[in-house]
Amino acid sequence: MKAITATLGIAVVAVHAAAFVAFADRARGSDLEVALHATPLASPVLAIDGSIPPGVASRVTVDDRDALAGAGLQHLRWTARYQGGFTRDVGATQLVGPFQDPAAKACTGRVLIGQKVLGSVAATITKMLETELAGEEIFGAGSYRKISGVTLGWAELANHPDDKGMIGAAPHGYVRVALRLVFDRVEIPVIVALLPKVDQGQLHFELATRAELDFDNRVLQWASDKVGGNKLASRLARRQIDQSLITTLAPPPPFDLPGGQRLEFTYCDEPPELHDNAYAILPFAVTIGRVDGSPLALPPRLGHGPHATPPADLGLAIDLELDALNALLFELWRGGFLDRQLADVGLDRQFNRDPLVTEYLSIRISPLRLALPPVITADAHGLRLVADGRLAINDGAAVTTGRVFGGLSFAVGARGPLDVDLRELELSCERTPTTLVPCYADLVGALRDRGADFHGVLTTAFTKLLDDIFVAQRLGAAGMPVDLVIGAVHPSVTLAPPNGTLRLSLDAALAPIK
Amino acid sequence: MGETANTLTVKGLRVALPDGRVLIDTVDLDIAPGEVVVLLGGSGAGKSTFARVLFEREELESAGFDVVTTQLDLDRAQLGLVPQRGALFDHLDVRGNIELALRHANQPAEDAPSWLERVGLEPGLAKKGTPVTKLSGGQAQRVAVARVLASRRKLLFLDEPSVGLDPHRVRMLARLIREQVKALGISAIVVTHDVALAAGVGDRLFMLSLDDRKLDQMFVGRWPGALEDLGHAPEERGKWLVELEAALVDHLAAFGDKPPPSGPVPRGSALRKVARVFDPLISPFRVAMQSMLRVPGQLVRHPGDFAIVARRVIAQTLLRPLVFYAIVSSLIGYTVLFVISKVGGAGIRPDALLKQIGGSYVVALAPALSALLYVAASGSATNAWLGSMGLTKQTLALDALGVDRRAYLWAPAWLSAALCYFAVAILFALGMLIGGLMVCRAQGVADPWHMLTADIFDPRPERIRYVYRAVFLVWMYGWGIASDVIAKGGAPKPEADAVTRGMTASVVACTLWVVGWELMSVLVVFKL
Repeated sequence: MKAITATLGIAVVAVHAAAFVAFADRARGSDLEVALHATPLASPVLAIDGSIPPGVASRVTVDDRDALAGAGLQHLRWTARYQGGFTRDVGATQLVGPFQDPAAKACTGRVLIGQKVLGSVAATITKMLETELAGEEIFGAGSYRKISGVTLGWAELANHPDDKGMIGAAPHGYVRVALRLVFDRVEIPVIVALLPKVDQGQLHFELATRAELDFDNRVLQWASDKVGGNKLASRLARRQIDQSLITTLAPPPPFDLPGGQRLEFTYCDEPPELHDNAYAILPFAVTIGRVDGSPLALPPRLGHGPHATPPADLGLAIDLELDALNALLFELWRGGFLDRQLADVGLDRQFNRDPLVTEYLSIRISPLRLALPPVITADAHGLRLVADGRLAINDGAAVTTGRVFGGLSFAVGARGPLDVDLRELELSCERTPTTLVPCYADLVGALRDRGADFHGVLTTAFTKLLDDIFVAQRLGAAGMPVDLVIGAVHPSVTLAPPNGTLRLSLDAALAPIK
Repeated sequence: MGETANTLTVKGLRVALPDGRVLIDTVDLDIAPGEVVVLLGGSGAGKSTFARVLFEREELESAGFDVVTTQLDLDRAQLGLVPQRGALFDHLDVRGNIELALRHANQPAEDAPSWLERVGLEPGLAKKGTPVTKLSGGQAQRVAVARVLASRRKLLFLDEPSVGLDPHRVRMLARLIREQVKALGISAIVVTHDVALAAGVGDRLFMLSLDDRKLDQMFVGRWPGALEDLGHAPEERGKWLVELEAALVDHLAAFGDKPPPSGPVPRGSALRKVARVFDPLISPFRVAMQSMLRVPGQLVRHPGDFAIVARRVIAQTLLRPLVFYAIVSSLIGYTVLFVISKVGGAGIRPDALLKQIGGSYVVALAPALSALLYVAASGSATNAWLGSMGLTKQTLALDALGVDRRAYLWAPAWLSAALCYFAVAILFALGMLIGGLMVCRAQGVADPWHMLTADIFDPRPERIRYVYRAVFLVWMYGWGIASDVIAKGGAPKPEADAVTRGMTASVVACTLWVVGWELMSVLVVFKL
């Protein structure tokens, strides 16, 4: 009997041990797992469809789909909440339309030129005209001696009624050049009106001139008319003034990027606006293309953004509506520039070589590759850039594809010219290409909690990026002796969430061509 | 019973020690109803062994003794015992001792005071709450007699009942035995060194000879019968006391130092030795099953008895060391989390480390730490209690009352010890949490209570297995420790040192049990 009970007791222990081993594998609980159904990377409307296991349904909340209805890079998140404030997130990202049309050449950017810039151009024009007129002799007027009183200004007809007879109508304003040509015996006051027009992607100026030779005697006046002061003025305007203005009113030049990619800007169909003695606005478009094999992947279209009235002392500025910024980001993504930049920056190397990582973590990551173009939208506090990337996570022998969704916020002019903060960071892992699970949640949570620590480095990085793009850029045109050189960039934003406009005020000055 | 009407018939009893030495050689003994037989003999003559043959033959054989009889007619259920010094149950009061015997004799209606009166004690001693430890030696011995009488046994075995009694009380005891034997029509075997008791109580006197190890009847044909019976003059009593003492002293003088004769080593001795070596390993499993199987029956049939033993064990294992557990667990919790908060070194935020650790230190450490502490403190207390019951023959007395010690003692003690461990584990976890809470507050961790308890009450999926492991370990430690403590504590205790050996062995075995399961569970959980 003793032996039987002892055997039974040992058997009970053995059964416990076996049961523990058997059930330990199942003692994982219901983890959050999202099975994606028919969820393309890009869609005209939000079309993220996923299902979760019933076991976790009671603790899972899903983002409000209505709040994700607009155009942009929309991220639908399933969040399982646990006591202590711990969460497990899985998110799926989709590029949601409406999208920009590559053929439309929508006017999403504007170059703003203040009267100040035009004033600096006047001196250049004077020099050019003096060169042109050197040795010029007009019958009755004598030899050319000098030019005086050159003024160049944005003009509206309402303030210059005398010009109406010369140019007829100028609903969007015009460039008014006034100068006096001094000859031996006569001074010829010249008024040149240039009406900017964009036609088939090219800026043209329609010229109207008025030259009044004021001789002391009627004979000479008669002779002047015969000589044709207006012709002289037209000739000068067409040769020199037109050229200078085209340079001034040109869209930003193309940016050649490493790897052979080029960002191109073009005139769009909206006419320039010229405001009397204040500023001129030249709308332009960002040229975009399509992604091979993924025709739906295009930058989102938010529509025209708000525009702030330029300041009175405006020099040179570029307004980039969010559509323009998103078009630029799209182009940079489409050509692989962003992926290359990310690889160059070496987030993966920095992470993998971080002493803390090498010492404490078993995971290593591959370079981040953006699966979709980053998108910028606006909220009440500033601009928000979101991106969706893929990376391989090596943890020992296991390799997992991770989907990283990150968000940066840009506050302009709050604490400094530009403040960049990490606002969102999520990592979901692909159990299969269509099954997403949370992974390394505590690690990502710790990084996210340390978002404030990244403020400095992010701000510095993006400020540098702006400087790299604009500072020391030379805007010029063939035949011009000078370039417009950008010295500094001062960003500001105008918000109308989810839209907005980034204004880059450029400290620009004319400088001789090197 | 056998074919005779004797209460006890033993023929050809031979008992050899594990090494082959013969302790009792070919002993025959008959006891008729209403007869009192006295066994005399020197130390080491085998008197106690004779008692063990009657009461604990199985244990004796398990211990390596070779017990052989050609005939043993004994109704074990009719055999009662008055151990040395009474062996009153110290977890019961005086009344409880009597009532336990009455209940198990199916006489619950009878009252304890009348049985105390019957043995010449004040009925007031039956007042509830009168502890047995307050009784004098004589009172304790009488209560023990009352208890065994109340059990309605037909054959009483009184083992050195006069130890510690003054001459007057010895005679009173002798008269009491005679009176009750006559009154109840029962028989008795009295084992004693005490000449006065032997002469006063015995119908027949036997000497367990140190010379040939046989049982020799003394004064055959001459013995006048129990001298405390009426009709014996003081002179006659004096004469027989002198003669009896002389016979005893002469025998001891002649053979007192004679060792038992050697004999062949019992067959199967090696096998028994192996079994004895492994018994401490196996016995907990046996006790577990025996207790497990008896808990329901004992709970249903004797809930009062169950509650009494359980209360005792709960007091020993949970209530008395409660503050100790609370303080130690809080200090451990504080220390562990404090150290963790510092291991990051310069540049590592302690609150981030603490948040990452959460309550996992409790889930990981509480089962093992609480178990080891429980074994050392609570387990040893119960072990010692059970051991002392064995040492003082209380467990033997239980058997002699017809009380199955496995049902009465082990089952409730086992269940209580297991449940108390579960309570201690919970308390320990709570203490560790409180200790950790203090560290978290000092480090400015937000909502620390919810953060710390998340790993217990609402763990994230990847941490559920650790909770599963902890719950499993607590379960295994609970009944495992209880089984070992009961097995080691309930094992035979021939001498005081066996009690401490049992405690030490239990601490060692339980520690190995804990360490083994920790290792096994870690391998299973982390290999997945």
